[in-house]
Amino acid sequence: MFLIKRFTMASRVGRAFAVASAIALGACNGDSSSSGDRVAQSPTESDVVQPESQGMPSFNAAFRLARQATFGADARTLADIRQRGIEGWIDHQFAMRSAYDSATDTHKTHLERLRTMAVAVEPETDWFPQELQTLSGLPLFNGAASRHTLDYQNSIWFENALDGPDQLRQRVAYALSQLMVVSHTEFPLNARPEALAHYYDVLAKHAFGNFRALLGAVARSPAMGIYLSHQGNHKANRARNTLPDENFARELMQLFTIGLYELNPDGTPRTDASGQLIPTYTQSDIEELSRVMTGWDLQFNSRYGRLWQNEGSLVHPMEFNTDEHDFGEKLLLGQVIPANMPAGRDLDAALDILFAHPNAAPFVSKHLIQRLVTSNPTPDYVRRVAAVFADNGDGVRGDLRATVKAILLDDEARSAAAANADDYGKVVEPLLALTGVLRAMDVSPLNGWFNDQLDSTDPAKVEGFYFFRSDHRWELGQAALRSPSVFNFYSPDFVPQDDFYNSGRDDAPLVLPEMQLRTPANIAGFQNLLLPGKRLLEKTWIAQEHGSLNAYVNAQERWLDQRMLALVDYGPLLAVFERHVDGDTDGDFENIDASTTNAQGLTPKQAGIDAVLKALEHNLRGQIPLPEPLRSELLGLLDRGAYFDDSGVTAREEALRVVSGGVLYVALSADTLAQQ
Amino acid sequence: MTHCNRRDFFKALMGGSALAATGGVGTLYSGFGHAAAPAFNNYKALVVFYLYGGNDAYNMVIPMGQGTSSFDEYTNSRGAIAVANNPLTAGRDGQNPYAAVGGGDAEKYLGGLYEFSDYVAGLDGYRPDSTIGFNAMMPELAQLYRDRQAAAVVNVGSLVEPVTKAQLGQKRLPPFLFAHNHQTRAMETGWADNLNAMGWAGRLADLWEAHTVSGVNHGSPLGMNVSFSGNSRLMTGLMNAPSVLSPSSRQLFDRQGGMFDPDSFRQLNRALAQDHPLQRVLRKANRRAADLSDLIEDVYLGTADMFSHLRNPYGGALFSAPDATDLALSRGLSGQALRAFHAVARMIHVGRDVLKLNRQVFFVGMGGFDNHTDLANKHPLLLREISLALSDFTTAMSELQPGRDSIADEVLVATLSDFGRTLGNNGDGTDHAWAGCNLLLGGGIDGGRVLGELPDLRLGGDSDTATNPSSAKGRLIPTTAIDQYLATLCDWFGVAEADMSGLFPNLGAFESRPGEPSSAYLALNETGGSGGGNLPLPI
Repeated sequence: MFLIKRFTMASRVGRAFAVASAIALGACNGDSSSSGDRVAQSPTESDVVQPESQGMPSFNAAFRLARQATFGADARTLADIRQRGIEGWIDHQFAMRSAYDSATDTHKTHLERLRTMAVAVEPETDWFPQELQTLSGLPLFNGAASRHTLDYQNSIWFENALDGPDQLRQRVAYALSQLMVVSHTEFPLNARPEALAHYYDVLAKHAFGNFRALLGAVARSPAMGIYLSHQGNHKANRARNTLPDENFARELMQLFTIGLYELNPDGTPRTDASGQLIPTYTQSDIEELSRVMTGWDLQFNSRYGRLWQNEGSLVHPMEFNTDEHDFGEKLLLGQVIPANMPAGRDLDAALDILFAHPNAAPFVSKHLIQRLVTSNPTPDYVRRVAAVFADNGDGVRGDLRATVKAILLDDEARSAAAANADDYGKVVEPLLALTGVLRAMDVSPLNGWFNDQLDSTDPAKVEGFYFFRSDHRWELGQAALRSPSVFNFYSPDFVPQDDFYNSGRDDAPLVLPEMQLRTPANIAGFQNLLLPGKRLLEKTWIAQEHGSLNAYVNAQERWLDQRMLALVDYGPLLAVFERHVDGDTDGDFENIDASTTNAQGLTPKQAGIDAVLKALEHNLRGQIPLPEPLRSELLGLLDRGAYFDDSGVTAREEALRVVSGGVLYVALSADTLAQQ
Repeated sequence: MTHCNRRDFFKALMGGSALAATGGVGTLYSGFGHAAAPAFNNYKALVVFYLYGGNDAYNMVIPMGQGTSSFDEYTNSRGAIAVANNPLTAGRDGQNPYAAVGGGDAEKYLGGLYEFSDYVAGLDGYRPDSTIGFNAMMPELAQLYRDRQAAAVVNVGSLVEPVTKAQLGQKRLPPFLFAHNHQTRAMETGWADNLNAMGWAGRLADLWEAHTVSGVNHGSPLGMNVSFSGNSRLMTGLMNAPSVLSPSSRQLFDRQGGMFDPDSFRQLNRALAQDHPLQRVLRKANRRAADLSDLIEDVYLGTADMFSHLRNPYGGALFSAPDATDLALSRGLSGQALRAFHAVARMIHVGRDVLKLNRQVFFVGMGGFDNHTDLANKHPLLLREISLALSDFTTAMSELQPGRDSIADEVLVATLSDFGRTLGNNGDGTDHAWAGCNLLLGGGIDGGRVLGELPDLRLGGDSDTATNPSSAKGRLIPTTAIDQYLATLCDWFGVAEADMSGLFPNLGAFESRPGEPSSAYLALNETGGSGGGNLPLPI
């Protein structure tokens, strides 16, 4: 395939639109005498259907994997997947050094980057207060020093999603963050978001590790301790007539490990003789487990159970306190946890019991399949993956690396036939739709912004950091670690209002969890975020309206009121457009109003729009064309719609309008948001 | 490409005339016959106010009954989180009565209550039921109760059939009691032992064919059910999905001078024969967003200031969230319920007076009630916001119906929550339990009354699921089923008695006269044993 070779040989390491340009160039420059009509026939479709002779995955196969396993299919990732092959890319992601196993890795943890960003934006803020240092003997970062720390933490999450080389690790961590949910809503996680960064690091660290180790780290993490309130939990106090807090005990079983009812190894529910679901645990199990969850508190607290701005570490595992722990024998799921286990070992004993429960394999496997690949996996798919979770082949249970690999290499994740089944696929959730578009549009940090809401007369200019304001009620309806409750952003059994899904399969409705977030407010909110010249900082628009990027940066005020400080670039799309309109890229779009037609009967502008749509289909749809007649209608709208055919603006501005409209309609289209 | 003209579309919409011909929108209404959707000639709105996380209801509605339901038993069982019997004076007039109680938020929250034993009956002989009091954080609610506009439904919870403590091992119970998601599901479906059922308000929209031109609301794209708090199962049926909107008043789609056009977007998202089911539901969601974007732009944005001349009890703008200073608390209110009720008030005006709809169900959610710890510092702000939201909403409804000093009789607010919480505590918070209390406001009901029976409040007592006092936490067995409560709301809303058992399949188990669903209803009015709902007149 000449196309691919051309791209992989290209020295330019850009993102998606490097590929878009390559395609257009490939078709165009492959024959120096070419005209626009040849360009319009760029061989994207044959690339979809014809497998590579050397076993290289097709473009579309790479695109599918990128949507399942990354935060969006940018050109670099796609090229990497095609070069390494599907399994090779997955193995490479596993083998990559990371911040979690290499102190010298240049890609830092969420917590490290949060601290660096906070200091960079607010160098005069006292991020390492004396009070915490006195208690801990350590220079402990304290996010409560600024009211923008949640924004910084959220920005670092985006940095990892948009730019992190360890895409698979970060994506699995995101899936885990929707299983073992914590949210900024609980004080002091909102005031001290370093706890959230630390928690995300726990998930990312163990994303390729063992599920049992992950459970232990999550149970001891300050964020989970605070969110589900086993931090500072007291043993029963007869005098005060109090009993231990059941919160974490319940959700640990119900949501994080075994679920409410017994499952078959294929994830389908077991039923008793009368057809009823069989509960996995009773209220008594919760009460016994709540006794295990006593005695855990933050390190460096002045008194047990305290939650305060200036005390306790939110970035070290919780410590065990003998005085507050219930050392009695516990009976959990029919198994005895003996009395007087030292040093909180009964926590590990309890986690061992839950980890060994037969439900854990299908429960966790199905969750990961649904977050990465498809909302309604066949029972066979769940069974195959759960079997790997139960035993990775070396007798090890809970190997997440093997589990993730089994999920992504399964025929149901890879084969084109499976992808076409009516019950296949998932809806791209709003947050991933946004990261996907940004990555496809060559996103990069804006340099030179600063926090002009500080008193400082000479605020520090920031270089190399994105800014994404943290607000869980914002346009998308979701942000990482900002769920409205421990039940995540959407219900795993959300059924859309549609006959096919309601009728379901095997007497149960089919679910589309992510569809729960596709409300009018969120759909429109996404649209608002993608408006160049408004929420979206697009280079050409900025140049058009302000003269230059520098002029824009110098004139701007109230930076931290903006939703996103992240630059995208429509330049490559404009170049594709102009090449098909004018045959050059000198920026004058001189033939945009010409009425001549090519062999297909397209005017230069129509040929340009067609090429832009092809580029968008390439980058956002894995080279699958938009369906007819909608594609032709969109082409017509961009050609002749009043806004896109306005004689009152320059040809250059008209071109920018056409490209911007194309991005907007394609990014919002049902065809782009259906992941198959 | 054919462009559907948005103004024409809306003209058709507001006239309630045939819509199905208007381009891509037609698919919203296609495929349905014309069965027996009732033809209402009046307006009613039911506002479901959902308290997410399991409200600690017995610190909102404080029992002051007799015997085992007495305030003394309440105090014994609640221990450190019991509200003190320090009578305060209710009001909606800008007073801040709890400010008299010193200390921090917790002291104010636990320091007193509004009770009604001293009420002197007027000429009509009315006295509010004094077997409950309201938390110090809720002076406005107490006043609305005293004024007969609000009522309390006590010890209500999810049930499959009636059950007593002695019958706990024998009778069928709802699956997964005390678990948030499944008990929320039970509130959403009104069908505690069917986890897969669609929501009761959604199924009601199906029953009344809200999606068809010949159904209730003449097939308005707004539908019957509007949520300002996300996509709740409660509002979703097989044929009808709620209009999920943000309480913020901004428009949905931004046209940006023409770069984006909702009409074109609707056209570009019409259903194609070859669509995969994923594409089908995504296209439908996109069309719905376009329809609602039009509707909001044309008839909703203009209502932003319609209540701006009115004041809340602090003298601030109606529905504004008072700050910590105003409240004399350590923090201000989040405003989530206030914003949503403001949106509901505006949308009631739009639905009733502009679009001429007949029936609307609104969903307002408020989070933060799952307080396993620090209840006495977290619950006060929540109760304060509930009280103010209900008060401001009452003020707004009175404005919509000039000449009356009560909330419009056409609008009934009803609370729901996942479950009640343990009477006993875990140090400074409470855990998941079963029966709780709900509030009713407006709708022309006879307020100032307690519906249902107060429980035995002793830990390990007759209402507690546990027997051993040393391990009993006070998980209370409901004496009234949620099914009865919801059926009562639906009766008020105009659901025919013959349709009720279809809507709430377990209702039959609670009928005092078998075969008569109305015998399971609660009495919203003092006379009228079947609930006294104002049944609509058929056209």
